[in-house]
Amino acid sequence: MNEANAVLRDPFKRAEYLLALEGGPTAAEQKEMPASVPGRSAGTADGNRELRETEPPDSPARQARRRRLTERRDALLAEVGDEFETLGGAADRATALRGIRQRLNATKYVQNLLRDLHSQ
Amino acid sequence: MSTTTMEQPTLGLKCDTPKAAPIVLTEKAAGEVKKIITDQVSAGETRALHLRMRVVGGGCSGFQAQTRPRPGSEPEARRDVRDAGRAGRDRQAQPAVPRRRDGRFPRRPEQARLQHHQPTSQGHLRLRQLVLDVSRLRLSAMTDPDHFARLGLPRRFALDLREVERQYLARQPRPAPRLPPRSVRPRNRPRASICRPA
Repeated sequence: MNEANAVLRDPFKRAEYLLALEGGPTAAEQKEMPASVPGRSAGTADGNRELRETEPPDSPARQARRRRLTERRDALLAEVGDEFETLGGAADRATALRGIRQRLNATKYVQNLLRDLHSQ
Repeated sequence: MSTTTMEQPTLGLKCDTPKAAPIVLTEKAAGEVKKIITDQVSAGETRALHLRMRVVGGGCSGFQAQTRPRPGSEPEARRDVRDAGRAGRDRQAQPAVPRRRDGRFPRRPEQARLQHHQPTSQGHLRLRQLVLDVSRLRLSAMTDPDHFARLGLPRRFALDLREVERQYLARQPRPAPRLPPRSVRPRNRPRASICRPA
């Protein structure tokens, strides 16, 4: 019961769990991300590292970056939710499931950037 | 009993058949053989008896000779079966592959050796057990409710977090009523007593 509560309260875990229930590919089976990932730009991780090294934790630059990454993660999860809603009427179910997996991979990528930004 | 030993002139492969060494039975040994033959005949043995000799490990000089009269017409297969039964007593009659799988760790590292004899049906039994386990796993995965069903929620991505919390709390076991601490409880409670009629 506790595990069910923990999984369903977290949108990312909920999406991963629902994708597994629907028979979608796992992250190990499909590691691609969509080409137009909002958070995937060259130097994002390096920019994080520079911010961590040069800016204090509560600096405006870091706060702004954290806000942008959070918005990107929420936008990706909203897209995942939309794809789940249209999954029942999808003509090609396998392609739709692969699309959800790609967006979840991108969400994971942005979440890792956020985690790195929080760490000192 | 006295025996004659022959020394090999040179070391090398034993290609040639060695010459038969003369075997001399002492009077005591011959009397013992006669006694055994008499016992066998009196026990109803009608077949011709032959004296069979063999050398086994042990004894004061490292080897000891055993003589045993046995019927000459005994089938070879029957002799093998009986010798296998005497494996613990006679060292030469040990089975071809010794039984070394006795459920303990070996004292020495494993060496290259023959595969241990196993019944042919044992492999099928293991496979059957494996298949049963897999089928049970799949069955439990099909019958166990998922997290959505466990909390009584619809199986979809868009969920109301307040509803998730409410369903989770509604399914928590109710705590037992708390008793007051022992120090707060009255110590001098009235006790039951037996009143005898006057």
